[in-house]
Amino acid sequence: MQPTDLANYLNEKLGAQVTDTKISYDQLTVTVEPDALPGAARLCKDDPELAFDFFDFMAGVDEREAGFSVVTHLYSVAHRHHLTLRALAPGGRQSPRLPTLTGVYRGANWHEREAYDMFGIEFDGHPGLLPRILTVENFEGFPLRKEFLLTSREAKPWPGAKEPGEGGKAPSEAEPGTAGDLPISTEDRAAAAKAKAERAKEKAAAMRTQKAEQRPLPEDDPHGAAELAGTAIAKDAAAGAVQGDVAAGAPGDLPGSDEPVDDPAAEAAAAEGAPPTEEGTDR
Amino acid sequence: MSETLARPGPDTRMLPGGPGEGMLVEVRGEGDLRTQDMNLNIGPQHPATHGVLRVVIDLDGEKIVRATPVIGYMHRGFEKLAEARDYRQIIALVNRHDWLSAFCNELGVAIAVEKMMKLEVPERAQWIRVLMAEWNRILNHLMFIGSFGLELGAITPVFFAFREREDIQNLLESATGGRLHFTYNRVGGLKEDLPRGFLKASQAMVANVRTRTREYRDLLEGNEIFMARTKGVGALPPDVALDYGVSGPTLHASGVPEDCRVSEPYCRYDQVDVHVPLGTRGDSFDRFACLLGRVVASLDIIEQVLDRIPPGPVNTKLPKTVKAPEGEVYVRTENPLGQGGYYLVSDGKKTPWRLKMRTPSFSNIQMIPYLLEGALVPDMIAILGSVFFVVGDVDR
Amino acid sequence: MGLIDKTEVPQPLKFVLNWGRKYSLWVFNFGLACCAIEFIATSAARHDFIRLGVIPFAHGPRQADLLVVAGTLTDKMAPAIRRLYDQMPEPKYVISFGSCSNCGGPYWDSYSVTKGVDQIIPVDVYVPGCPPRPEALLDGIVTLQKQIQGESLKERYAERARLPIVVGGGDPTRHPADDPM
Repeated sequence: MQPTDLANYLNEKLGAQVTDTKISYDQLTVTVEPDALPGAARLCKDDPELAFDFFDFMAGVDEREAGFSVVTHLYSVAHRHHLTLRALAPGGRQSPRLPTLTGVYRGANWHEREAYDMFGIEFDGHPGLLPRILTVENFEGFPLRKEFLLTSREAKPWPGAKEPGEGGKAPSEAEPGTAGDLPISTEDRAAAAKAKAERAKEKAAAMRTQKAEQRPLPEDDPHGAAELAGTAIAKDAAAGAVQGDVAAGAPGDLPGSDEPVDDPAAEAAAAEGAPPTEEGTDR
Repeated sequence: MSETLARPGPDTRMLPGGPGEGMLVEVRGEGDLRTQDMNLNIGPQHPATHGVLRVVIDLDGEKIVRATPVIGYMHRGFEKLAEARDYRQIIALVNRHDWLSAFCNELGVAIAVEKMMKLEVPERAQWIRVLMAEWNRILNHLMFIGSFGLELGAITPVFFAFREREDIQNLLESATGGRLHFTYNRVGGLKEDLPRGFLKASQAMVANVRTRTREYRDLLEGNEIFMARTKGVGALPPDVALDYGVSGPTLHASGVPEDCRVSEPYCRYDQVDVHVPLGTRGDSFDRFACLLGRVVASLDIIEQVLDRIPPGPVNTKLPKTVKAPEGEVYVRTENPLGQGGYYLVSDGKKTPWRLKMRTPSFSNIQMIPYLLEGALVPDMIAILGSVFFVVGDVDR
Repeated sequence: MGLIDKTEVPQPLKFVLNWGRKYSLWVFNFGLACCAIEFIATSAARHDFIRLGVIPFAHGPRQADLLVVAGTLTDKMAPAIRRLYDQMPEPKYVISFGSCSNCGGPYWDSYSVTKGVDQIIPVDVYVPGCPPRPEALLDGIVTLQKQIQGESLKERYAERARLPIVVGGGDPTRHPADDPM
C-alpha cells in the first residue's frame, strides 16, 4: 500500500487512538496514544491487509521538554510496505513509561531493554529490563539523554574540528573575536581572552563608580543591584563564577548566522577556565 | 533420566576394557538418580565466539536447557558519539561497527543524509558504490566461510579464505587507501575516482575468486563431517525469524526471500540482476549454503557492473557546512550480515539529533536462545558459528 | 626460577636465555574488535608471524606468554582482561595493538570505553594505527623481541614485585549470569 493509503486505513481502524500521521521522504509515521500502542501493533501484525510481520527496530528519541518518545518500525515482507509507530511516553523526563510490545513481537524484547538502558524508559509487562543490556551493570545515568554529557568532551574539546573555509579557529571553541586567519594556539587565545575580560571588568568597575556618583538610586534598590544585574558585564562575572549547564548562545545556533559571533560571556567563561561551550550542538 | 544407556546382546563378547564392559547401566523410573543442572559460562573471551559474546548456558548433561546471551562487552556508545560529530565525521566512525563490511555501513549513512538534503549523487558514483559494496560483501562472507570451518575443526579453509581476502583487500586498498575501514563514501558520492587499472584488476579477481569458491564447495559444503554436524542443527522457522527481526543469509536460509536490494533498491541495484539464494530447512547447513551462494551472486553482480560504469564526476559539491534539514528518515541497506538501517532525526544543525543504527546482528543474536534450547553442546558451536554476527554490530 | 630472578646472570647465559624467550612467544588470542581481523590476517599465510617465533596456538592464558590486546577495551570487559592477564605466568609481555587499546582511539569521548589498555595492565609495545597494517604488527613484534633481548629478569621481577597479583575472588553463591565479571 502507498503511505497515504496506509495512513487512511490506520485512521479508519484505530480511530481516535491515532493522534498524528506524517508522511515525509515517502515514509509514514503514525503517532498513537501510549496505551494504544500494543493494540495498534497487534492490529498491524494480524490484519491481512497490513501484515507487518517483520519487526525492524524500536528506538527511543529524546523530545526535549516533552519527554521521550519511542519509535517502532515495522515492515511487511508480503506487501513491501513500512510503518513507523510513534508513541510519546507519559511521565515526562522523570519517569517515562510505556506498555511493552513483547506480547506482540518477540523481537521487541531486546530493543526495549536497550531503550531502557539508553533512556530510562520503563516498559510495563516486560519480562526483565534488568540487568542492563549494553552498559556496565552499575552504570549511573542513561547515556542517550541529552543531559548526559560526554565527560571527555567537557574536559577537553576536540581541537581538530575545522570547517572548510574557516581559518585557524576551531569551531568547537568559542571564538574570542580576534582576527581569525592566523593559526593561534589555544593558550594564546585563552590568554588574550583573559586579558580582554580583565580590561572589560576594570572598565565596568570604573563606569559603575562613575555612574553611582552621578545618579541617585531608587528607594527600594539602594545599591542599584537591579540595574547592574542586567548589564552584560555583570553577566560576564556571573558566568565565570557559576559553571552551570546553561548553554550560552553558541555561534551557529541562531538561524542564518554562520558567522562567528563575539560572545563576551562565553569568552570570559573560557578565560575563567570553564569548559568552552560547544558550537553547533544543541544540548 | 530413565534411559538405558547400554545393553550388550546375548552373543557379544565382554572384553575387558572393550565397548561392552562397564556400560551396563540401567536407570528406570525417577527418584534413584538425581542430577543437577550445570551452569556454564562461555566467554566473553573464547575462541569459538566471534569476539566478545558471552553466553551463559544451563546444561542438563550435554543438553542445553536455557541459554542467555550477555552482550555489551563491545558497547562503545556509537549513537551518543554520533550526536557529537557532524555528518561527515560520522562516516569515519560508522564503518567500525560491522568491522568486516565497512563500506556498506558508510553507505547507509551517506544515503540517509543525501536523502534528507535531497542531494543528487552522480551516476558514476552510484555504480561504483554498487561495485564496492559487492566486493565488501564478498570480503565479509569469506571471513565467515573460513571461521565457520575453523570452529567445526576444519583448519585449512580459513587460510584459503584469508588468501582471498588479502587479494581483495589489496585491490580495494588501491582505490580507497584502507584495508579494513575504507572511509570511501562521502555525503554526495565518493572520496575520489577509481585508479587506472582497477576495473581490469577487478575482472581478473572475479575469475580468481570464482574458481576458489569451487574449492570451498568441495572442502566444506561437500564434506561429510561438515554435513553431519550442520544438517538439521538449529532449524529456524520463518515466522519466528521474522518476529525477531532476523535478516540476511540467516533469514534466507529459512526460505524468506527478503532482500533490500530487491525489494527496495538503492544505488543502482534496480538495474542489475540480484540473485538471492534461498534455503529450505533453515538449519546451519542451509545458512552456510546461502552464504556461499551469496558470494557467487555478488561475483555475478560485479561482472554486470564492471562494463556499465559511466564516465563522469564521483561527488557533488557540498555547501560549506553540511546541515540536514529538520525531519526524520529511515534508510535501510542490505549489509552482508543482514538488513542494516539508519534512523536519522535531524533538528537542522550540523550534528544529528538522534542517529539510531539498526544493526542486523543485534536482531540475529536475539533469537539464539530460541535456537539453542534443546541443542547439545557441540551443536551450540555449529549454531553460533552459523548465525553470522559481528559483536561490534551487536553492541555498537 | 629462584636464582635467575635474584641474581644478575652472567652475560653469555643471559644472552642465551633471552634469545630462547624472544623466539618462542606463545600468543594468547585476545582479539576484541576490528584489530583482531588484522591480527588474524597477520597470522595467515601472507604475513605469517610464526616465522618470527610467535605461535598463535596457546590453549589458554596459563600457557601463554604474550598477550596482544587488539581492539577496543570497554569498561565492561576491563575486569575480564585483568583476570586473564593475571592468569598468565611470568615472564609475560603485552602488545597493545591499534589505537583503541593504545589510548581509546576514535572513541576517546565515549562513556563506556577504557581509554587505553595500559590503564588496566602494563604494556610493553604500542602499535599505532586504525587498524594497523599487518606489517606494523610484525614491526611491533620485532621491537618487542629487541626489548626482550636486552632484558634483565632480575630487574623485571623486582619491579613486578611491587604490583599486587589479584587472582579470582568473588562470591561462589551468586549465579554466574548475574556476575558482572
